[in-house]
Amino acid sequence: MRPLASFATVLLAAPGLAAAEPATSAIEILQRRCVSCHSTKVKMANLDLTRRETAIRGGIRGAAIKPADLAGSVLWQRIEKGQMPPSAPLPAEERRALREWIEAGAPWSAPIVEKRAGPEWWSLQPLVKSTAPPAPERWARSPIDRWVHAGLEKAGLQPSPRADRRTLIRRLSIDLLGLPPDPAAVDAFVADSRADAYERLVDRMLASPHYGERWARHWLDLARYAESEGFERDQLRENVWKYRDYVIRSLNADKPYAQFAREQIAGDVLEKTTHESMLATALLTMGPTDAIGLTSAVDSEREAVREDMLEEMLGVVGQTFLGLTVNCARCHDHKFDPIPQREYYRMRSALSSVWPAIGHSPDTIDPNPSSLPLLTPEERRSREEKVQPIEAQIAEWERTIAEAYRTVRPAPDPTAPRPYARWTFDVDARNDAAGLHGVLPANARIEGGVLAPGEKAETVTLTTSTLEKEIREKTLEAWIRVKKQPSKAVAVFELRNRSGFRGASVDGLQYAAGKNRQWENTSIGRFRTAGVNGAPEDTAEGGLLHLAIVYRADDRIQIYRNGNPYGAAYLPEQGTASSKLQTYFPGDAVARFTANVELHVEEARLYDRALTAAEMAASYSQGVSNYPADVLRARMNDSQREALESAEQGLRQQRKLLAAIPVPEPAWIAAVRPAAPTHVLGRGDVTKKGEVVPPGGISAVKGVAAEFGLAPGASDTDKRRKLADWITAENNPLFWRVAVNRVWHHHFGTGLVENPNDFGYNGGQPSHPELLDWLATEFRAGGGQLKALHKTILLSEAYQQSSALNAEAAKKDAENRLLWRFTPRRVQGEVVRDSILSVSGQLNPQMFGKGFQPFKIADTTGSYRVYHLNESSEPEQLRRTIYRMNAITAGSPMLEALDCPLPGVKMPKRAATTTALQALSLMNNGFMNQQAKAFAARLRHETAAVEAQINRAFTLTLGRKPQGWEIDASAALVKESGSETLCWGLLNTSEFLYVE
Amino acid sequence: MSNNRTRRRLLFDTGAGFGWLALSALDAPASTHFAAKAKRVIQIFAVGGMSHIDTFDAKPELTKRTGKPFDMPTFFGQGGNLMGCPFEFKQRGQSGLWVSDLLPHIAESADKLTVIRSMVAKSANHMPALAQMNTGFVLSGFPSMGAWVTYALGAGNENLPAFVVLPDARTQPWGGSLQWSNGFLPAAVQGTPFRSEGDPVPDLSSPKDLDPGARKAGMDWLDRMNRTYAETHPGDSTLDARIRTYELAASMQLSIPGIADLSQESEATRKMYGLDDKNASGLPRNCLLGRRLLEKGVRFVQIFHGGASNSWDAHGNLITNHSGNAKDYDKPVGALLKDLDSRGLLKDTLVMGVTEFGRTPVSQGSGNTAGRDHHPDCFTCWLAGAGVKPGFSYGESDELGYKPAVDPVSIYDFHATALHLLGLNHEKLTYYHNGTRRRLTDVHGHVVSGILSN
Repeated sequence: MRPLASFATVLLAAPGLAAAEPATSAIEILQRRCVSCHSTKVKMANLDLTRRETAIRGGIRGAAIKPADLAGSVLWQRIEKGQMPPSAPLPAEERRALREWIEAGAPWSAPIVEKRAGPEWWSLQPLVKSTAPPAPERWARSPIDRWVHAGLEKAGLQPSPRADRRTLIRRLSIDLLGLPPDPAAVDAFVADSRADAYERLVDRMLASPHYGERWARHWLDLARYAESEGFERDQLRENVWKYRDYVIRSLNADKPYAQFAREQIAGDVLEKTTHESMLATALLTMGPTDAIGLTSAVDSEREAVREDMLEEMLGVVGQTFLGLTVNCARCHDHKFDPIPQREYYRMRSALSSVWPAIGHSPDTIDPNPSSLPLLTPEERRSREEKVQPIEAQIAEWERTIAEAYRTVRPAPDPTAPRPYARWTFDVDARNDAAGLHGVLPANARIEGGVLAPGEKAETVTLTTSTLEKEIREKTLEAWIRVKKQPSKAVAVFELRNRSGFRGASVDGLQYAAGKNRQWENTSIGRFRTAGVNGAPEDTAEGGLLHLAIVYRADDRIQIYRNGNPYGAAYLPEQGTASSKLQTYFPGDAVARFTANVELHVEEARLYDRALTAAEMAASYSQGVSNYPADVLRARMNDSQREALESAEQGLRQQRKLLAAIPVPEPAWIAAVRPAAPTHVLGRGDVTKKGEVVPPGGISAVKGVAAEFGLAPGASDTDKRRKLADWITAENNPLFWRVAVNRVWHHHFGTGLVENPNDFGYNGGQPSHPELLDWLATEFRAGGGQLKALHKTILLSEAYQQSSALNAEAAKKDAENRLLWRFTPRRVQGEVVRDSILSVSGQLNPQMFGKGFQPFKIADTTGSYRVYHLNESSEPEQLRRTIYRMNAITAGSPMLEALDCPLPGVKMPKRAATTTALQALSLMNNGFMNQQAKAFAARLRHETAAVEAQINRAFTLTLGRKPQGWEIDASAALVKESGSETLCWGLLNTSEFLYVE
Repeated sequence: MSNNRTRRRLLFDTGAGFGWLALSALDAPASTHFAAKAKRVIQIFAVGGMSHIDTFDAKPELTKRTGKPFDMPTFFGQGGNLMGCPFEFKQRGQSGLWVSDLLPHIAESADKLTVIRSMVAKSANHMPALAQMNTGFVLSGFPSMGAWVTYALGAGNENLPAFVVLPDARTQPWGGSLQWSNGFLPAAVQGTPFRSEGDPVPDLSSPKDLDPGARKAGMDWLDRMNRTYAETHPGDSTLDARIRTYELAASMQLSIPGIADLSQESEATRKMYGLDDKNASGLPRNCLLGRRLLEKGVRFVQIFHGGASNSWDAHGNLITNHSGNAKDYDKPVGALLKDLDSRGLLKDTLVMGVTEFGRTPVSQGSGNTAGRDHHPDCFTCWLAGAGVKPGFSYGESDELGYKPAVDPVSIYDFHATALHLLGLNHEKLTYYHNGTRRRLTDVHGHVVSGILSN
């Protein structure tokens, strides 16, 4: 054992933060600031600054450095003018150092070694299958072992002996299922004398449904699995859990890996699209969404938010499937890997139509997370074929009914001004003219010719469909039935542009409560609102009130009440867009009515021009023109009434038919929207649009063509299929290498490549390159079956080694990269929780479906969500941790202390920290103590004798009986402090929390 | 890869208390790149966007041009006319620093302040802008500054978290715990929020129904189990670290409630902070608690004033909003500055007054209810204490407070400077994650040497 002090010594000596001096040597400055662009490999402007002679030779602008001649050194001139480096001028002290160095003759000791990968980088080369070297005896059977053995031998090390069976079954069970083995299974395995007992055990576990639950979590770490949108509002996204279930099912079914990947990239546009494959596309859009940013009134801000979303998406696709940090090439060529900026934008083009499921069209945005119908393109077509004729029929019947009423309604006075739209609220919320039709919400009623809140509602708002033409000059007129002296502010009739994209705007009639009892214009931020000092509202209860507001081309606003001007006409505050007459746009603007228990809406009219005072007075004296349905019916003759009734019956029938067509299942899947061709963006900035690029892959990846042969404006279907083809190609070496390395990483704790998401320069070299390629070729040849890959690895001697320390080996290879033993480790947070539930007997094994919700949701201001933890011991909440609802800001302190990742953040490799907060959680968290009690109750239930209870407690948690001092000490503990205390203690032991 | 075996990795693999068991066990100094001016940080975050032109950045020309049109894009697209500050500005102290009447108590310490009047942020949207001020990035998932500092320097007291967050008692900031997240750094460096009710730290106290004797017996039994296991499993230092963390946890259970108990402070001190005032945000409590935590060795204290449901976000009613918030904010923050100074803590403590962006020189809405929209293009942050020039202002905004006119300071620069004061080179404080050696300052940032004292 290494004492802590020795670590501290290491700490003080080691150079993590040390080597701390700022870059003062000129060579260091060149290395840090210049050679990422001006190197032998990259050589921008044909300039190579890695060596003295090439720097003197210079590039297209001439000699970069002329020793002892500042004026003749282009490098110095460019730096002095602040032109280079392009990102930011050099700090003064660095300039000084460079100047002094050039003046001193630019002494240069050794060439600068480029710290980056070129196209010859190992991971980009085709897979090579080589023959494993020989190894002795047991270690000769599997090529894995032969390579591992060769590596150890070369370092003068020996492998460790095989672990005992108790250790092996626990190791396997935690590794494959994420749960400790049942004591009976341990005994059976220990007693199994068949030669293939271990292989049988592996097979059995790989066939367990728990396998999918355990390994899906590894995949969800990569998918930055999150069930809320993050950012400011963090609204829940319903139905994301279907993606989690998709992953579990896919793993349990051993879906070929290439298919698994294809579905997640393009599952909604494949040749053969299924519900299952569509669910997979959640991977693309799971990232946090800046819903507020997407509604910014500033174009460049919205575009930048979208560009960030795409970068995030590319990061996940590139890293998850290829171990390529493509996302690092958005602003410039990749600093470490051969990924030109242009190729980032080619991949971006392939994904540019993919959006998260938020309501959005090119012109309007409803930023609420929503689900989409889970329909394959074929189902969508066939559903539309069924639904469309019915909907057309319904519309037809509705028109007929409205017409039937209209024919018997007395004609308005032909001399009166003709409204563009008129809502009489006779029988429904439709308008006489086209567009702006309202549908009555559930909490509203139309009764006696007025719009009013429903029985239990205080207030009701009805929004119509959108406007069909552009309206500028306008008049809004309304008759209001005053049920009670109004005390509450309410906007009875408004016109609004829904989107912020062409100018969010609202105009309309609003009652401002308060002591002045005034009517006023409604507007955003009260920009267009002014007090006009009209008469206080005093209409008697039950009376009818006439109101109108006129918006004139000269920007003036005039309110009328009961036919007379209400205060003076006014100009809104000048000098802003809001001071002008507002335009309402077709396809965007809607009318909105609000009625409350005090004020009901009797009739409303919209004119597409400004009425004069005389017209207003006339309109007022003409009065309302609405007639309740029963009045109108009474006016019909028999044949009219029959026609109406048959239309009503026809409508009922069609509605029934529509209701009989199953509603599609909602799902969180990728939304596809038209996208403009992709430009390369200078420094990643949306305002610096450059060349248009076609979709494509990364050309440095050998063996598979990165050209898709598509035009920049190709369809989303073509682009994403090609992207999926390129990524999952048989000859894409990265795709297979990255996959097998992930599996290896989880089995051994460290991958053959240490950074599973980065196979570029920074990810380093594989510890066993031939072995990695052998695994990848085998995996590919076997059709990408993950279970076969697991089995190959698990049956190796390397995996079955004991974890005991070999002090000699530890000296040579402390990190165990050569695999001289199995690396012991703390189990992951989810496994801690699931294991506890398992031994306490409380684990609710229910698989799949909506997750359990361990928090309450406080709705702060409308669309914002705040989550308050509310964990309970209800069976629903005692399901496996993978079924915990994963809202970004609703984390569990205990799971976080155990290094479970933050939802929304990709985590290819978890840390395993040991902190005091973790200890506090394991000691005191409500869950721990509740489970300790349940565990003790389980023991009492199973056996009466205390000694047997203790044995059972040890066997369930540690897979063994108490030994030596433990026997008496545990008995004493139970006697003095109760069996809960022992159970609590066992759940806190390192032995329970570690796997050997 | 040898570069992955840094001392940081070793530390985390070793395991530690809240921070640095190994370091504190040796009482070794924390590791800096060069000599530090500041040993600790206390940051007060005015959430929602404190208006620079109504607090620290006097703009007479703006007042003169009130009501005149001015064309500028605004977040909600509702920009009105120019609107001067409705509050009075005065020159304060020896330095003559301009501070408005909104902040009389803070103004008393004007000669201690360094005001940066040319801050520029990237986002006009609260959550991303808060995230940038806290993590350097507008996207979530990156480590906060407190986490980076903890990662670099560890704790000054192993019995306490190195990085403590004191949220507003009424509300969480947008993004909640994302704002003090460890991001991709080890979980040990994340901010620990102290709650104002119940256990200050989650799971600090043992369950109420637990017999203390039984817990003690259980802890002894557990300790023996874990020691036996560690002895029979040599070579894994985390097993020893686990034993130690349980001891630490137990000692924290004893020490933290005492620190959080403000009744130990004198009546005068409590009064100075405004503990007897009706202050719904709990800022007096948090400022005083913050000072106590600094005294006990906490490295980074972050105090939030405001959040998603109560904030400085004065779209309408600038006067009411900023008067109310300033009344809440000014007294305790002013008291904190004086208290730190009188206790000799200010000389090696960095105090940071930040906000996510400023507010527009044009109004949003009109009349008495007019407010100002979000304004990331120019705003003010202030510093005090270790290593910064006292009674000093840096950078200037233009005559309207619309854009920086002189010496713009990006948030990267601001972070680089704060790290510099802590003895850290922002380009060398890195952590490898997903293909890049990540920094708080991304690939940007220059130390603002103009504000450094010597």
